Amino acid sequence: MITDLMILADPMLLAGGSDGDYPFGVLAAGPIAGILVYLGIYSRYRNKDKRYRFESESKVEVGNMMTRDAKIKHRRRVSGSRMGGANESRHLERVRRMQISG
Amino acid sequence: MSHDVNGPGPQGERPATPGAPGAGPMGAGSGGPMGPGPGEPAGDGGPAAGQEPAASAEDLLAQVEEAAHPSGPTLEERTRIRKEHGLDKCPRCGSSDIAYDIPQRALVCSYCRYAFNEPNAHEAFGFTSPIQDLRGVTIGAGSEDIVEDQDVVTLKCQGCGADVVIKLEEQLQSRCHWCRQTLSINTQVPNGAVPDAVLPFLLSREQAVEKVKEFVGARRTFADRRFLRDFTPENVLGVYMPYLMVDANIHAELAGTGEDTVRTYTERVKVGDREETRTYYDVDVYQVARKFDLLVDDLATQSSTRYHRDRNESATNYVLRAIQPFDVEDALVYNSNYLTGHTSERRDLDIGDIDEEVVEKFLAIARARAQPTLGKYDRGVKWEAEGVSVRGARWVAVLLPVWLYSQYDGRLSHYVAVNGRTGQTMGSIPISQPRAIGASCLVATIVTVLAVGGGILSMFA
Ligand SMILES: [Zn+2]
Ligand SMILES: [Zn+2]
Repeated sequence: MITDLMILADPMLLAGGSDGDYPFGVLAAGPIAGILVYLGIYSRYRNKDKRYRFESESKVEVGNMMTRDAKIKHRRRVSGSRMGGANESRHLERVRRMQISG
Repeated sequence: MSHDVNGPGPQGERPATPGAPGAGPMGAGSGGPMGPGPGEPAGDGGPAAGQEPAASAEDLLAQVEEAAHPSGPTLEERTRIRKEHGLDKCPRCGSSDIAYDIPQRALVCSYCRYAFNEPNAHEAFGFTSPIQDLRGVTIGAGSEDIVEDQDVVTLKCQGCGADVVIKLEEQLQSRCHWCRQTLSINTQVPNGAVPDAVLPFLLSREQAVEKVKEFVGARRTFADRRFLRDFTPENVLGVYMPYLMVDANIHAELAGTGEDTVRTYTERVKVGDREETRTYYDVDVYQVARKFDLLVDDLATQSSTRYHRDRNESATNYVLRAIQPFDVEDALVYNSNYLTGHTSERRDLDIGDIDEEVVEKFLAIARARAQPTLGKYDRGVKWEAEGVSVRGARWVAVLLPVWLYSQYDGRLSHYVAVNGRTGQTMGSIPISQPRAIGASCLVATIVTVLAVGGGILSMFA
């Protein structure tokens, strides 16, 4: 019961703490908090998102790391703090497969 | 790529068994006389078809000792010899009435009370040699082809269709570990492959019942009322789940682009009749490449169609995925007596069937291991190409212990699984929609009242 209530507290703070200066923020805070509570219950009871993070937790040794970092161009006046399509932390998304030897 | 992982031998289908002609109306490779129905995957083929008559264990042992292997018997030979050596009897009195006793953590002869264990599988199979020395592919006998295990029987559950493996002498009282249906002796199907290794239970039934109670107890508030009413944690069943475990010596390569911020500045720009502050960045773009070796130790992949990732997105999948890892380095050489009192899921997937899944796991591991080398790219890295080549791998088929609680709510089965070694618990509990929606609406109302109230107050402040 206590742990159940703890998941309720979190989204409340999140949504309740949002800026109340704008009428939209005032009116949206309630429904957003309600949806977050529902999603929190769903995640805790059904656990569909839980898995063993084998990609970082398996026993693995890394050796002979060879790196190449070659500057190819300079771009000015780019907006946005992240590059488009960055995927360095999305380990489960596959990209084009290279055939390699060795 | 697939060839690297599979090594010699055809993928996905079994080599025709020598001496198979006349094995039955369906012939070799199509399931044998008692073969599974047409809907079964090809990997199930032909286990019951005539095996080559096994030479005696002594002969095999002698053959191997004579053989001029510079490094001793191969992994396959080692596992095969153990299997055919008749190691299922009590070493002291020869009785075959043996069961695994969890408190003693040993096989115990019920006749003379002698307690013993099979040797550690890693040591017995030579898996303690360094992974970086692996070249080519070695496969434990149990990972490769189907050898009939005389001590177990596989029954098809009439309730849910699962293939459940049990000890021969227990077939009268066994239940399906998925749906609790009592299994019928009349639904026998060919056994899956004999495993190479087994990781016995450490957690007792009582401890597992406590874990299941604890897991559900912490989720009562919004649980479906009927589920709670019917909840019977004592129904938990001990199940051995089949996995294929691999050690691999891999070379990985990644290529892409990365961006590094060199200057950040803001400018005032006119938007219509308003001025806004915009942030801009000057960035260096790099071509990024990483090449490295990976030594992967004991990566386990499920090897039963029932919960294979591509075939069944049911609750069992994520529940079983979430209770890993297992301490597979402590697995013991397989002996069917470890199954006494438990059921086992039939392994019906080969290395060839899970090959692509395992290669993708290697790629994911490579990507995760490359990440710490990307510190300078504060704007991120976009990987565009990736590849692995497997220099060497060794495979072992292993049974891992799970305490499984299942309950059917009329529409879906819900499971709570407990890792039989570590006690790690995960499950799926049906939600009471009136309660969950009620709580969500209540919170929504409270937050709205607070926000509106706060807004009104702030107007007077
Ligand atoms: Zn004995
Ligand atoms: Zn069943």
